[in-house]
Amino acid sequence: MEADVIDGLFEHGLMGIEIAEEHGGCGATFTAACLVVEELAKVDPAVSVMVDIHNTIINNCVSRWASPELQREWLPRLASDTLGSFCLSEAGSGSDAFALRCAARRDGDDYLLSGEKLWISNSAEAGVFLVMANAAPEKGHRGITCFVVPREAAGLRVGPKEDKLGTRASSRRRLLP
Amino acid sequence: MAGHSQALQAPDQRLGRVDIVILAEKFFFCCETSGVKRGKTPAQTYPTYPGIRAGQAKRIQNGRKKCSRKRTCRQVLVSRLKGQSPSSSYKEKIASCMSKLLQRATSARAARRVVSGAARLRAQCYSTSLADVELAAPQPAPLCALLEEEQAMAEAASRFARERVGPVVQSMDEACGGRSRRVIGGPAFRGPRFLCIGGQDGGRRDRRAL
Repeated sequence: MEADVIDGLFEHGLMGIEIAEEHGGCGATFTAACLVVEELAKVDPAVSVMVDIHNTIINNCVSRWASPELQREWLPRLASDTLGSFCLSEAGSGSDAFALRCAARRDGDDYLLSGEKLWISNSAEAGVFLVMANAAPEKGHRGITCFVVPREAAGLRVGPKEDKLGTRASSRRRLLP
Repeated sequence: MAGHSQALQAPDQRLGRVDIVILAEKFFFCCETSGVKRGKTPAQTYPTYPGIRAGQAKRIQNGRKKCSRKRTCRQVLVSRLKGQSPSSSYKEKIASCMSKLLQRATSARAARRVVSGAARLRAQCYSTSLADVELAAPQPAPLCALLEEEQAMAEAASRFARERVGPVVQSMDEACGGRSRRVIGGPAFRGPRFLCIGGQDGGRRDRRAL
């Protein structure tokens, strides 16, 4: 995906549609996000997919469920210059998301994530990753937790480009430990 | 229809609360007027219409009582329609009652708006329960009606897509490698040769090729 296109989307306010105005977003409705995705898809579904994931998954996750500290830190960036990526799928858990193997282990004030994610959209351009990992395996799927992982986090590697038959400009790569 | 509710607000004023309950073959229409001065005892007027059984009226009264905790209810109009659209005389009766109630409760202009929307409201069955559903305009906006900001966002996205994305679609696509283009032009897309068709049918069943 060309950087100019991504920058233009941010400049036009199309990447913070539902983010509250106090965080630099437009404060618009989910319907507005759907309309934007629809209009972009008429020209390029790859761009549309990227905008869709960023607005309706990443921004919504952070707006609804992140702690106030995380919201203050990330929502202004997500609305202005940082693309988000949602990391759920793994080799053994595509549709069956509860079967994911990625584990999170507490290490002092931090968490150490171990695992590999596959087919991660926006991964080539993303500045932040929402990574699903199980922080409490004894609780089964109820232990699955969403971690906000900056791209510069130690140990995070984005794999090589994967070739596809469609929406080719939309990056979909592996996340490697 | 049951279970779907919609709350609407007019930009200029709030006319009252309207609750509509849709059952499979029944239709309760309960309009409560608001804007009553605090401290005044609401008038206990329950117009009766043919077909309303005592139990149903009581349920509706209970619903009204729940609302009256806020002391905003003044009068309640309840009607019941069975299966099909009501007769014209029935409609007139309802409209007449609504007009009187709402003219007393709010401005005459507001009352006229409510009455004029009553027929459409009957046809468009919204909401659901006797819980508070605030309706300010009698005519609910259709789902396809967009807010100004939604329309503006759609137009901005459309313009951006045409002007900034359109010219680079092909180059972005081609910049993502060419293997899949070779695949599309390759043997797998020329016929059933590599698909799961046995040799007796002219294919070549080869799992490794798959």
